[in-house]
Amino acid sequence: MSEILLGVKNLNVSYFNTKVVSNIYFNIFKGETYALVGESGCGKSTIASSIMRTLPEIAHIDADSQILYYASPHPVDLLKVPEYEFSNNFRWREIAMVPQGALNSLNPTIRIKDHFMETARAHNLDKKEALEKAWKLLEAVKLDPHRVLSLYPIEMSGGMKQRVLIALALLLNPKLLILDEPTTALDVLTQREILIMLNELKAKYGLTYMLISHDIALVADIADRVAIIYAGRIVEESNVENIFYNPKHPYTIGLLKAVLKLGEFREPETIPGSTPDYRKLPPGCKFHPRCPFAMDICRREEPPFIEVEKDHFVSCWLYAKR
Amino acid sequence: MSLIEAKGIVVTFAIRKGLKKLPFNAVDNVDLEIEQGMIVGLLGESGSGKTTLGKVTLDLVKPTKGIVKFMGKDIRKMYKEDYRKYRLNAQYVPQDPYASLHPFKTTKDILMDIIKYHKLVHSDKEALELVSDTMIKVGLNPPEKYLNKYPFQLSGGERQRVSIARALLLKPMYIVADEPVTMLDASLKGAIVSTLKNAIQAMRTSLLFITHEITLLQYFGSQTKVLVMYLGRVVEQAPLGELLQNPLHPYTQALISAIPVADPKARASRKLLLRGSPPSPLSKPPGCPLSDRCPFVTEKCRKEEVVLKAISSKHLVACHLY
Ligand SMILES: Nc1ncnc2c1ncn2[C@@H]1O[C@H](COP(=O)(O)OP(=O)(O)OP(=O)(O)O)[C@@H](O)[C@H]1O
Ligand SMILES: Nc1ncnc2c1ncn2[C@@H]1O[C@H](COP(=O)(O)OP(=O)(O)OP(=O)(O)O)[C@@H](O)[C@H]1O
Ligand code: SF4
Ligand SMILES: [Mg+2]
Ligand SMILES: [Mg+2]
Repeated sequence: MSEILLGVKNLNVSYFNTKVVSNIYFNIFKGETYALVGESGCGKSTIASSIMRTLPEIAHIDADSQILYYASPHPVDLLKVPEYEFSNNFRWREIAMVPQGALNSLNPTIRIKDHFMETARAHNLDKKEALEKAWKLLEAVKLDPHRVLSLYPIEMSGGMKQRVLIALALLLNPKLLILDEPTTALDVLTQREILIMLNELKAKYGLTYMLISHDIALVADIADRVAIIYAGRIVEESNVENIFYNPKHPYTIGLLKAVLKLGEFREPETIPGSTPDYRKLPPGCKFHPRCPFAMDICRREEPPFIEVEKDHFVSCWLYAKR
Repeated sequence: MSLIEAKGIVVTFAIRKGLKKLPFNAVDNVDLEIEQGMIVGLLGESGSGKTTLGKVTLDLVKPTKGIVKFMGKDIRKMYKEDYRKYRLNAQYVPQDPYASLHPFKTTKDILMDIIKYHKLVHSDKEALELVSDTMIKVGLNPPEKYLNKYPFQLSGGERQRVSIARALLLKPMYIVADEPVTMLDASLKGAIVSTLKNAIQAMRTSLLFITHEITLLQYFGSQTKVLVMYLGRVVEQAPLGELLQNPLHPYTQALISAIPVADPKARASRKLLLRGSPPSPLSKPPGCPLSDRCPFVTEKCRKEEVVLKAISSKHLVACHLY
């Protein structure tokens, strides 16, 4: 594999005293699209905000958590960098994010041009240079800059707004772009267009993506590697082919089964039980109350994260040696 | 008799361009009929007017032209008492859970206030029971985990479920669910949609289900009436099974072919039948609204307006090809 761009090590995040992200390890390689997939509330956005350092005050990251960024020969632990340095040198400049639900975050009272200008001003970018860059970026996201720069957000469709947000995020030439549910609000046709555009953009600017989605079908269309998250833990990680054609974790299998094929009229096939309560997570495997294969050991001990085949990791007692 | 009947609905908005105000029709001469206890699916491109049409039926947006009838009575000409009954019985699950939940109220307050406001029960204890039951139905389980959280402390999918619970609480006769499960994974989506289906069947409630995911409508059965919108117009209307097997309108065909198939190998072979984004509603092409993107366009399409024509008793299409 190629070089690592971002390495998350032992990330643990709590809100007040409730831990929602536990013991997360993953690497993102340069140039790839790495997807975090999991049900609502499993901690995806929390992981993203940890990387961007935009967690709310009440959130707490454990002291021994590390987020290593490998831009220079020596990795930098983003969690240890002082805030002013992080905001001057890293946030938006190295790592940018299009947050979840951002479609409605554009200021309705100012034109798209001024959205770019404000971002430029906030980062001491030369005005003329910023405008040129904005123009190029809007072309890259397949919008007509001439027209779009003078529009107000309300004059644009959801798909256009999402493109503008992606262009805005790229204004300071970041290397890593985090996309938190980038297409959920869009119709499938616009979704496809955005995915195609994202692939082109990636090649053109040499970007690396971290894609967050609950939609496993969408991930099949764009991701290179996938991490399946359950209750704030990675339960399976591999390349996209393994995840789809050879899923190992009962949760992954359940997620895939739940996807309804076009033209299929049947009752939903859902994973039984409800999403875990972080204040009182069960002992052992966190998925055991919902797992059709749960065994005794699953109820007692947390399964280790093991490599079942090359580059395919699973945390489940069905595959671990006891 | 239809529970909801909207006839000849036109909604004109104006976009401010400098000092000028440029009007455009967000909804352009649409008819919609929903019988008691029936489900109608509303599909369409982002910005095509789905939300606006849904809001018109709830009297949250006043149409420029056309009338809305509830139980056969024109809502503009209703007696006060009838109108009150209509408003109480027509509930909305809004599209954007990031903007629609009161930011300073806890989940408990959001849900309890409605019950109290409408004096549905006699005691706080009963109210809390009703709230808890409803929360469990929509997968906010156990309720105590969420009751004291503010919207900003909830994940995207959790907010959506609070909105659904809020609409179900009043046991209304009519619900408009506007993309209510976009932020949930396939398993939870299936579970919530069937909850919604069972709840409304038990209450004989009518449902207008706005979505961009055709597959989701499959849970409602192949006979579900579906309307497809594009740029303010209904371009096709048919029972779901028929629509999937025999989509007539080029836009519907493109929409169906763009559905993610959850198969990484299918990436290369997936074609995009329609390119480009829809034009701004201000520069809607004359003739058929799709004429600037349609692969089958003819001279006639560019000049002549199209109207919705019946191809068979339940299948209507607005396209010059037919
Ligand atoms: N500010 C907060 N205070 C307390 N709890 C929070 C806060 N933000 C998130 N949570 C909780 O942390 C858990 C993880 O939330 P997160 O937003 O990371 O989930 P997610 O995987 O992004 O979900 P979704 O797909 O629904 O957006 C959820 O149970 C949520 O209720
Ligand atoms: N209050 C308003 N003033 C002016 N224009 C508006 C207003 N509300 C909506 N519009 C415009 O009307 C058109 C239809 O909007 P609507 O929200 O109904 O579309 P939609 O089909 O629900 O789209 P989406 O899938 O993105 O939710 C869009 O072009 C939108 O920008
Ligand atoms: S460890 Fe046990 S309970 Fe957990 S997923 Fe594997 S089999 Fe199921
Ligand atoms: Mg999230
Ligand atoms: Mg809408």
